[in-house]
Amino acid sequence: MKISLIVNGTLWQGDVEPRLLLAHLLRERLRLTATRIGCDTSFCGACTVLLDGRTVKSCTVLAVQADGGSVTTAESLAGDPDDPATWHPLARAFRAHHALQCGFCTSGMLVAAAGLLAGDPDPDEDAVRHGLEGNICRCTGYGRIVDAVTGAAAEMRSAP
Amino acid sequence: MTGHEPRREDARLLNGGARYTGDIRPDGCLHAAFARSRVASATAVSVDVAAARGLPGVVAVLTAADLDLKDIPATLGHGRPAPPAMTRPPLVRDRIRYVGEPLAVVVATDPYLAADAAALVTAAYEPAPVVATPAAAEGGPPLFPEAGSNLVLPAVTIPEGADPDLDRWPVRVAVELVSPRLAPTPMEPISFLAAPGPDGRLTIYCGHQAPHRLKRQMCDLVGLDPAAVRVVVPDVGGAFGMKAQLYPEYPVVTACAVRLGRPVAWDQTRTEQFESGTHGRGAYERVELAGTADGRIRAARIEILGDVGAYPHNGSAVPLFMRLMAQGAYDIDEVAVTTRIVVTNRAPTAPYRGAGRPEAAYGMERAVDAYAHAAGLDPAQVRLLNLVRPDQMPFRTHTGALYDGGDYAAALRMALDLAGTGEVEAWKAAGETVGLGMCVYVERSNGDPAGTEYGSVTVHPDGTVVARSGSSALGQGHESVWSRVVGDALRVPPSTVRVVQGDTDAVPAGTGSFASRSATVGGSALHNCATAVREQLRDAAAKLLGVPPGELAGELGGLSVAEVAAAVYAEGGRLFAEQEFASGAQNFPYGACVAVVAVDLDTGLVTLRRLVAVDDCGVVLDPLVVEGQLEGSLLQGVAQALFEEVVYDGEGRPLTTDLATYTLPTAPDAPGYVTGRLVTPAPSNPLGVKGAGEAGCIGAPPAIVNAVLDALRRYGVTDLRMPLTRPGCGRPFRAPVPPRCRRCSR
Repeated sequence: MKISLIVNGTLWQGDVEPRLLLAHLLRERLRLTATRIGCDTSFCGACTVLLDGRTVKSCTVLAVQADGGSVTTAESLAGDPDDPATWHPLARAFRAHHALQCGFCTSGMLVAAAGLLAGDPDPDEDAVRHGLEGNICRCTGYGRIVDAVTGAAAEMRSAP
Repeated sequence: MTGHEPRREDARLLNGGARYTGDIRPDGCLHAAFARSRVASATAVSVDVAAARGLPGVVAVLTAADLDLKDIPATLGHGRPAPPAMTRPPLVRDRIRYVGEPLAVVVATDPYLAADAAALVTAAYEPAPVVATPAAAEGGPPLFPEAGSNLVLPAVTIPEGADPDLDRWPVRVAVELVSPRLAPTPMEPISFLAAPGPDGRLTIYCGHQAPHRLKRQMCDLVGLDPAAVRVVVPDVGGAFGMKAQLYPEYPVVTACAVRLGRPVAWDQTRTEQFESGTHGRGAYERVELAGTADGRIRAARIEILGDVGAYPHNGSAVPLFMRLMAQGAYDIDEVAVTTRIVVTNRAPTAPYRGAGRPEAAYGMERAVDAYAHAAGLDPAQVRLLNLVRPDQMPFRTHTGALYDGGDYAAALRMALDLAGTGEVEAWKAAGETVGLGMCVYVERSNGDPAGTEYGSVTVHPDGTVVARSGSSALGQGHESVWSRVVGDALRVPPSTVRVVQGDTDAVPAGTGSFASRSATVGGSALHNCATAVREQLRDAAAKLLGVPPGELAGELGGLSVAEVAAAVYAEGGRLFAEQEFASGAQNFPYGACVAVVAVDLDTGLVTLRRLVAVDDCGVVLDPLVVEGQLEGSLLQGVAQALFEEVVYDGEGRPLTTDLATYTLPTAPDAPGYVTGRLVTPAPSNPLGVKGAGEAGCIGAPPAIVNAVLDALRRYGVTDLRMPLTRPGCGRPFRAPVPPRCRRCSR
């Protein structure tokens, strides 16, 4: 099937099999590999992207379902690795709080957190924990991720 | 070095620059998928691949008969031989021994097509009896008839001939426990890519914990020239022991790439990982303690039964690690530990974070609590009475471990203080169903004392530094920490130090990152090399300035590293040191964990009100990195206590096959962590460091189970099986009343 969608602000058009998952379209066809695949049951959240502003797990969305939509991946949150001033506030906060170790869940965490803060700029700890319930991290024990998201939220609220 | 520095790795991990194996796909890359057994035990297996071969896009479908691969040897870990008949063919030859065992490999142009074709592979077979539990293994139908029995290790008692007389003591207790199988579940499943290059060499990409070992294994099993093979470990999405193993898919995919002359990638699905392992734990233990009425434990008799699944490989070492640590943190006059290891029709096991120490601590710490209650004493007091004292260090246990220092009682006291025991008593007095449980653990890191790690340090003519380490990172932050270790010893800014790891072409030798050994041996090798190169720099600077080395003003007599380096290289010299460092000893971090729980008697829900961990891992290289290791490991321990368990039915069929049926903790499940730290430098390495990665998951499970038992003792509950849940329900424990799961309302 022919589909067209906007990915990180750029139009993509192509022919895809109806069964192709959005996660595989992004990774294999567009080579946007920051969207990662950690399970096959939609539990881990490593493949989280925003579809028309809504947080979705791209392993549970067919590419054809995204036809006509707008997809935001973790790549859109990236800055210049050598210049922390260009990083997304969430990325800076994740580093400051040591909220990542292996980094495999991190793309999904960042996207999920960005989606969470877009809907609730001032979440309390409980709201952050439940807002990230769909994203599994096996390294950190979560406390530092929660602190990082809360910290980034404060910074983003005070930004002009 | 002191204090935390922002991690160098984070710059790429947070900005779309990470590169895991699955992100690397050369042009023309083919995709492998495996057809797997759906039964646990069968003979006279015949695999039919005709239908699969007929699918468009399929390049090859290969069985054991098509591939000339050596069997994977059976071992007891550390290269010690297991019964030779228990070898493993990489693909099933004529006998199936567990659900998920690979029957055939499909190679196709697209991963979807490969999976389609794998689903068309069928097998004809004769059903065979299933050994579904370790209890059924001894005396059961042998998985390997030529071996004669299912015993990998027949009952062996250490110390040899030990037979403590427990009957002569007035207080005697016995506990029987299971440390269930767990799925390590790093967030990155296994990914493996073998890519032949135009130069005739083969490059293997894999998030492996021991790249040099993987290279040797592939050369041996597939028959490749070591000079023509390179193993690269890119970013690794967690490992926890599971990625140090030799999976049969590795030689199969390697052989496919060699035979087809094209890159072949295999991306393990999460279900494949749950079904074909490796799993951790899986130990059965009986602990008997005996001693005096005033609380002095005098004798222990411990029996261990280890289940290593269908093929004994590195998992066989785990019950032996458990045996080494069975005496726990206590000074006991007489100890006897009897260990048996069996094969079962389940997926193979392997070391998983903690590997034998959580099992050992769980047995001893449950038994010490039982002892305290039998004697009518406070569990903390019994521990304080029996813990090995600082003045007894170094302390040799009856099982052969040489504890290398520390104040175990101080750790327990600090943990109890942090837990706020007074408040817990007040909650109890107010009628709340709360409990407090504790654990004092000794951890053993740097698995093989004779094991070496390679390090080298080079100062280039422009003054930049390259540090090479045979121990590559799995997410712990080696680039950041190694650059600081080298920078400190060389007296140069860490930012000038580039760290090279995870590439067998770029690092000449290496043992790997496991057993909490990286800082101990890998860090020490780099420290020693950097120290040696610093002396080379100072000697060269003194020569340049015409003064004796001892009379240099400042570090290099006012010269910069680049100035000295340029002069050294201009004269044909070089600034370089390398070392294969061995510490010659294991080191023994230790600590205490205290859990405070509240139990909802209507639902059975266990809530952690406090989780306190006090750890001593020697000198701390980066406090936040170490804290992160402790917290992450604690949560794995919490999950082990409360809900994680790999479950098989009576026919050897796995019931936990994905993240829907095997519960991992998410953010709302995680407690706050209260941590404390003691520092007893390790005597066996120049940095004074001990392993930091495994402590939490050793201390948390016994503390939590002891806490729930403390809360429920007034209702007559004296024993609970870990995890504290109902089979098939991701949540609470077997309460005195029917439990409900807060997630699924079952």
